[in-house]
Amino acid sequence: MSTAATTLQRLRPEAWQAIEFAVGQANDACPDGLLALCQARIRMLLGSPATATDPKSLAVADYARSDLFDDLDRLAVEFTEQYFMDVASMPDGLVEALRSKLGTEGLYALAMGLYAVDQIERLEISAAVRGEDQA
Amino acid sequence: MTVPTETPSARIPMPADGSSHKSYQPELSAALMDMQAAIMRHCSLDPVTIELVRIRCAHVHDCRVCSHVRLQPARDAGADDAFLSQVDDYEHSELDERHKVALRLADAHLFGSVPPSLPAQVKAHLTAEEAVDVVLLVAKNSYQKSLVSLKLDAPGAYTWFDFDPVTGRNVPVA
Repeated sequence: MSTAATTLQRLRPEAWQAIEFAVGQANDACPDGLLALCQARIRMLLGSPATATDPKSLAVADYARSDLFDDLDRLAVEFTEQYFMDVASMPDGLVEALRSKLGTEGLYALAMGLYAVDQIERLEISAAVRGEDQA
Repeated sequence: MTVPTETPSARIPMPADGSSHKSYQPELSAALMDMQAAIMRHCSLDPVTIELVRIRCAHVHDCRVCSHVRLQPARDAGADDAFLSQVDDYEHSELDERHKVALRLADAHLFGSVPPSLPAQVKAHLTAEEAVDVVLLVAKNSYQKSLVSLKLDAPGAYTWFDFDPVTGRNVPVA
């Protein structure tokens, strides 16, 4: 377990348990593997070491060109990048294209699921700031 | 405080039965709400620090509803709009060093990068519990990113709110 996870589990166990449960619910609500692919992209953008070992996750930086990815994958990862870098500038056309693939419920699941995985990845960095001396 | 008069249309339709957008994914929504409530139930931070961090998140994510509402206990403790306006350029503000350190830690979470000097500053000004609560508070408030992505962040009917100490959920204050 990482320093951040250990710190959170020790100091705020109820919150940490709720975060882990939410991440599980988020993955269940999205098409199989899609949110994990987006999470792999978030880890890469944060500069965190890769944890996934499947070919698509390892190649996710090349999602626009690699044959490993279909149209839904590409739209979801592009949405993830915009969500990560500047969510307020999310293009209408990108959201609409993703909604045409996923439907309203599916798009909603992805957007809310990204919240859970984005935050758990950022906590890996930020919760470790004061955690080292306590671990 | 200026109330927005233009609210760009949401990018998804609201449910036909008039319910909240949360009903599109009720189980996931419940898990996310429980997560946020669990964070607030155990938060050790004072209302002013909570409000400074919350406003920082709102401005970074450009969330309309979060920028519009205000935490009543923070206002009662002196955090009026003039005080909160220091958040955007907090390094050059008159905020005390503890608040600046809390905002630097919030920024480490928001921008995914920890300056080398930050751990020592955090250790000097925040307990381990307070430091964890700052980053959990940012995580809690970052729910707004998903609302912004779908343009579901239009301000609602209330401005003033508090946290229910038992449930940890936001409650409007009349």
